[in-house]
Amino acid sequence: MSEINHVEVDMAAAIGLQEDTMAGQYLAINLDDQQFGIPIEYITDIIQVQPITKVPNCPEFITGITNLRGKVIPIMDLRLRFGKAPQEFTDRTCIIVLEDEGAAVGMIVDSVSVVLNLDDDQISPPPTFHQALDAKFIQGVNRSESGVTLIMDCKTVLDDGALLRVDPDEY
Amino acid sequence: MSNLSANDQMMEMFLFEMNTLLEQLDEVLLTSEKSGSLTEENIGEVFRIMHTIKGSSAMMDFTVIASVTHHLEDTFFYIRDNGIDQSHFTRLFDLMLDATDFLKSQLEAIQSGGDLAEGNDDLMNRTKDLYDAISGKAAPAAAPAAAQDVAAPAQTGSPTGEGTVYDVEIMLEEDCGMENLRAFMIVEGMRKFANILSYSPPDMETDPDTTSYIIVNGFQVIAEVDMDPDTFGDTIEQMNYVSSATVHLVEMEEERPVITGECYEVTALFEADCGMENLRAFMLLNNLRSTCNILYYFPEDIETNTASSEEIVKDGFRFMVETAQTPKRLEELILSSMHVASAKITDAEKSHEDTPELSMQDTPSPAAQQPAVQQHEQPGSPAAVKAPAAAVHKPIRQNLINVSLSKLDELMDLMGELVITESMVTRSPDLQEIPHLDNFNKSARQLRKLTDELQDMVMSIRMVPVSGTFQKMQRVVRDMSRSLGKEADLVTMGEETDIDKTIVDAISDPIMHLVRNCMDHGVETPDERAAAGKSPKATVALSAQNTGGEILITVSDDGKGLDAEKLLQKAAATGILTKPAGEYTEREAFQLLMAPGFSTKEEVTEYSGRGVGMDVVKKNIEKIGGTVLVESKKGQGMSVFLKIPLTLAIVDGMNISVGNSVYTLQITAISQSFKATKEQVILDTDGNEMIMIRGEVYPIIRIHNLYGIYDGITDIEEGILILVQSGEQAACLFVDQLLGMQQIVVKPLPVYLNRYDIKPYGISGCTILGDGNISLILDVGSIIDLVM
Repeated sequence: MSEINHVEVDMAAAIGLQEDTMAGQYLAINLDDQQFGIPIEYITDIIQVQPITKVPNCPEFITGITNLRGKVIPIMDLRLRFGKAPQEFTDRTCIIVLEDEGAAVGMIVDSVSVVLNLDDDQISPPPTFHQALDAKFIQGVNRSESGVTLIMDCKTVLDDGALLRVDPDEY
Repeated sequence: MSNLSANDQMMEMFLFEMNTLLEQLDEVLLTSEKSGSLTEENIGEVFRIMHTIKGSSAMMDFTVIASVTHHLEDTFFYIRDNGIDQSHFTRLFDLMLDATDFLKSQLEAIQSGGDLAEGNDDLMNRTKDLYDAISGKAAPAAAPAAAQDVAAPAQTGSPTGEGTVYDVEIMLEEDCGMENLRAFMIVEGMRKFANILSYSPPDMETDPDTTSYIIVNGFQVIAEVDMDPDTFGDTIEQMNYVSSATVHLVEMEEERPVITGECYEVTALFEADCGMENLRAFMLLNNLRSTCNILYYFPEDIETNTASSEEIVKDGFRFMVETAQTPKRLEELILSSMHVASAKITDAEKSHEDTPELSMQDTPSPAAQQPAVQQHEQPGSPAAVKAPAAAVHKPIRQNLINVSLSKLDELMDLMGELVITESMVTRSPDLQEIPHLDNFNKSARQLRKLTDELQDMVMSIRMVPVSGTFQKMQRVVRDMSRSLGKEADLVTMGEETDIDKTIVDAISDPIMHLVRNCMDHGVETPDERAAAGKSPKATVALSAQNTGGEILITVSDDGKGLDAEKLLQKAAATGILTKPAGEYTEREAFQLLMAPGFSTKEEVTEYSGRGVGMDVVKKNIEKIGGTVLVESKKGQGMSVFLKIPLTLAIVDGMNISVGNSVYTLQITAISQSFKATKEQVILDTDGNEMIMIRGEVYPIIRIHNLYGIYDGITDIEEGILILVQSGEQAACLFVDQLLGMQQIVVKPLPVYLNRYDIKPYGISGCTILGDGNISLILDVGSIIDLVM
């Protein structure tokens, strides 16, 4: 699986380099006071928070599963995924449905703001470390007058291998 | 399906037909071999199957299959006409079974896109040798010729008199190749809508030399068909490889239905005032035509002349018939016609001399009547014998269609969505705010009833009998008894039991494995059996039974059975024991058989004993939600029970709540539910809770502890206990409350979650509830495994 992932990433990167002019679109989401950009091509849906069924033996950041129009999809709380403290859902909280290799996953975020059009040259490489966040989730940084947007590496967020293993003593 | 090209569809049909035919062939051969005789019917059947395979495979350009079956067909053709000596039976059956194996392997190659054989000389030579052997002194060269000579009349039908007879000259497309077989396929194809009387060259399917004749001259078919010449011609021209068809009308003189028997003169009187007597009379004659030859009738112009009614009213309706029926039966037939009041039947023999005179006067078409009378006068003539035979072979229209499984799967999915949506609508929370719902509830009940019926229907469409799977085992038993020098009979019971198609496919391999195990490990050699005081011939029994919610399949033998001690020794040696050998009960010891890497037989045989036997069976059965149980008595044989769910997708579930979470249990897993008091709960030394029900102690599993739910009921007296069972294991689940029964559509958990190994945590899938929320389906077996 992971091998295939890399091949696809590389191809996407290659295409991106060739077609330099094509601006990337990113959905800006907020967690606490941080703004993240999610590449728009992953996003299939944005829905309100709806009842979630907890599933045993999953890490804490997997909130459970929900019914998206007859399809059962897993839900990940991005706050917990990024090691932030859990927070009560508000009416701005929503679920962003990402689809990668045919598998849909919902991500709970604090709120959604805008869609950003960013050229590749507007994105600088990620910092090697970040004071509040594991840098591997970030694939780039955009700085503008309005602030800093961290471009999320969806592949790693969805599956970074080792971290997803669960401690068997949890239950 | 719909995007398959016409060619693919033809191929699919071809494969389907081949598989069905080969299965039939196996069945016929095995029953014949068992009974040690070949009935005429079976010979005919084999001949027919070979014939069809030959034709279809030639059509699809599988020449090797066509030529192999062609030779076998010849052989059976000879046998059909000349019989076969008992002494050739073994050779014949071996040859035929090898041939079916070859054909099956070819089919598999076609299906999997593998390489096809370029010929099978061994089979062809053996066929030829056998043919020479059974045809006795007949020189090999002369024999096929003899067969061909009889071929023509045998494939010639007799006219029924219900259509017009045409002589058709058919030209084939240039360069279509194998013209003789194409021509033959066209003749076969025409049989669907026409009664083929004869065709020429008569030996085209057996003699490749006719090809050149057909290329130049085309071929002729004389056929009787209920169409006008143009439609008939067009129909033929639409067939594959036909370039043109020229249709000529054939003047029929001697051809009339040949019904033999006695001649009777009948005077029928109609009910008074029934009106339109002439037409009633006409209807009466029509009704009789199927069983009688109408020789003449009077008045003769009944269908056109309304005035003839008066004559009929006055004198009755007089007619003469020739029929094989008894006078009494004839009278019944006549009286069963509408409005006939009475019928006077006189034996025409007495008035025989009058007949010619009458026929001269009254019969509109003397030509039609004459030969029939002649027939009557020469009873036992070949034609007379043939007529009833032709009647027997009247084609039966098959009211079956083939549907691809993927369509049925889609239908099933839709059905599932419908069931969910229905409960979403009828249990919508919005309804709780509406005071009067009488009409809604009435309609909802009706809807419920309809969806239930629809669901049953959808399920039943997917159901196929297990007989096909069982049938294959006959062959396994036969082959293995030969190669292992054992004698065994396979007895099947309940093969008409219907099971979901996907499940049938899934259990086919496990059953085959079990039967092989029986033959290999269970059944002893005849000598051993005799020494043990059993009949030398062992019995392997295969049975299927619908026990309501599930299907019970039993594979058992009366062989040497299992030895619990040996099993334990072996298990100890392989290191798969989980507790001291002495602590195993006999039953537990038997279940060791299904542990991975366990094989009781030392040497590996061709069929089984590779050490991947029973555990694979267990895995495959568990994959479809079934369970496996082994029972045995040392020296008396063993039985393996497979309990399999009727269907996979929609099951009856019981929703239960624990805190805010809702879970679903399959109804079939639940034995009972009850409230318990604190006093009933027993604690073991580790503090585990147990409860005694009817003298048996069951562990209590608290779901809220298992899944870390903190908002649930913890007081044993407030919640409810559910006694659940999975195979041999049982336990009591402690939950908050029962929410009610519901038909649930089982959905797998998202693939994304597979990495978390949820299945062993007692969750086998999930389902969408009426309110749109998701409930997890608890798998009793793995919950018990998890806790124990």
